[in-house]
Amino acid sequence: MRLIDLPILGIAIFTSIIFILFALLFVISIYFYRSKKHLLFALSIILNIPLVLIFVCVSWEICNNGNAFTNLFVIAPFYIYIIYLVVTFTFLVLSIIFLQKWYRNNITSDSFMDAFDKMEEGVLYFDDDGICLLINSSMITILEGILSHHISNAYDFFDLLNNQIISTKEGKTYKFISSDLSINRRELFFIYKKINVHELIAFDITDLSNANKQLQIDNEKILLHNQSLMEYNKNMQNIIRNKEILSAKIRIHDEMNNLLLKTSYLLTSDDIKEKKEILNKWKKNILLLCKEATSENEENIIDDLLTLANGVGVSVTFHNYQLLKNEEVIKLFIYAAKESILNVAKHTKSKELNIDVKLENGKYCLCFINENSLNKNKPVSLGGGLKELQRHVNSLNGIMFVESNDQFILTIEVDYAV
Amino acid sequence: MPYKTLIVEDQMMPRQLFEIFVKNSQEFTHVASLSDASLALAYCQNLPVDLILMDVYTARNSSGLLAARDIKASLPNIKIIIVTSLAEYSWIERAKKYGVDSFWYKEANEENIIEVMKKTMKGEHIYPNTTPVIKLGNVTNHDLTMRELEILKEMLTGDSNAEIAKRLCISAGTVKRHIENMISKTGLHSRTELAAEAGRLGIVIRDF
Repeated sequence: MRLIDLPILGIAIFTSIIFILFALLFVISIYFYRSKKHLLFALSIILNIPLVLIFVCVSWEICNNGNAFTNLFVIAPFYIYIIYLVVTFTFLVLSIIFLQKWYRNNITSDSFMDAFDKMEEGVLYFDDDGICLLINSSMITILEGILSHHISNAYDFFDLLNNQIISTKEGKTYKFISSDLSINRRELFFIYKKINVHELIAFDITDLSNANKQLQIDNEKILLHNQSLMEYNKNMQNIIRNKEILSAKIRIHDEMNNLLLKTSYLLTSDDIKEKKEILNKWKKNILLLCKEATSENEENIIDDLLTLANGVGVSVTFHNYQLLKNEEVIKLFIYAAKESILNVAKHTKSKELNIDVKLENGKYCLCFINENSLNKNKPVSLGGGLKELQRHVNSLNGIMFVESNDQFILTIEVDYAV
Repeated sequence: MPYKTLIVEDQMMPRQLFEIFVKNSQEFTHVASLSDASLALAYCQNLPVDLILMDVYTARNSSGLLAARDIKASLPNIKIIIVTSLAEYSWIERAKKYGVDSFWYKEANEENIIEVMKKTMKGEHIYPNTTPVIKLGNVTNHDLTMRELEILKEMLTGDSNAEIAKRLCISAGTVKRHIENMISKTGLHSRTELAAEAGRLGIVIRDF
């Protein structure tokens, strides 16, 4: 049976199929063009040609051998098809020109990809299984620099990231930051699936890292300088003290020299008044010279306290105050002793105070005991001086107890090294 | 009746000198000597004192200036004479601010100190016009401005320019400029040498 013997419906169906094929090819060629699959695009264009040939041949056969009615079903579509071809090809050419221009002037997914690859930061996306979904060329270079090979599974590298900063053998330093995303991935046509994606970004912080290292070195140098300056400052205090002593001695000796000169002059003089005056000055200076000859004693921390106690009529006995070596503790001790002396003078009948210093288990224990408390068995309220003393003790992380029974006992415990 | 005089001086030599001067005077009587200025207030509150000869730099770094301030606040009738041999630039102004009656640079001459004490008890205020002149490199301490002296004092802490600037409420650049000026004036080689030398000479003292 020949094709031309087919009924009209058959011819119509045949023609429709041809047109559908043409339309499909058109859509496919556009798709290939958009996807930049140039080879497939060209193939889809070329496939139009055999279709055209088949249609022309069949149409020719039908026209030659059919009647006017049957011809209508091929001639009309044939002309429609010619118009259709002209229109579609024109449209294709215009699209190609337009799309070329459009791609040049607009950001497309290709632009994103270009930019992605050109980024200085390394970017890597991988899924839960460690399979790389997207990686830019910077990240490839960075990973090769660190690992010296390509990575097959992102987790192999991810597990190496114990700290976020890694240095390569070339002396580059990178900081890695990771985060998690959730995206909808197209599985097939319009079917999407939600997947977890892990993002890893590498920043080049070589300059910053080098600057930090240099800063650390400079800081250490400055610290050393500062420490030596502070040491020098401490020594200066001693120098100032010694300078004062020396100045006093110089003054005394200068005075002595003046006296010698005056004496040598007055030996020949009859002025009794002046001689008496010179003799008095000699007495004073000899006294000073005697004291100058004695060595400058070390500061005795209890001398001032004894002066105060004697002035207010309190008898103080010190035990083991020589154990005090820490400057801060000595200051605390003097303050506490002063308060105790004044409290005894004001508030007790017995004007006697025992002060004891002990060193036990790495702590100083300072005890201030008065035998006769006026406020027996009454709670002691800390007011004025004792309150300030409590604050002072707290500042050194010490503890303070006050008891008022038959005795008034103030106890302070503070660490040996504060 | 002789004026009761308390001497606060931690150095034995000057203290004994003052004790001798006071004991030799008929107008003054020596009641006590303390080496630590922190005990002076307690002493004055409990015992009669008319006049205090107070050193600035006393035992355990207690400040005579601060003790004088506290005594003047609670016992304004007591006359206080600050005595020092150090040329620290800020002490005179601070002494005036705290209400100290007189300020005297130590000398060996007995008459001078007794004169100052008498005048002070009469109600006069004896203050030197300026600090003693001390050579610092190619210049003297009088050739430095007040701001330069302030910065020099802060430099003794060893802190950076930024930290000094923060404390003085000026910019770090200004601090740097002042330091460079001082180095240029004095002819010293570095900020460390400048600070060390100024501290050693007592031109600035990192005190209390």
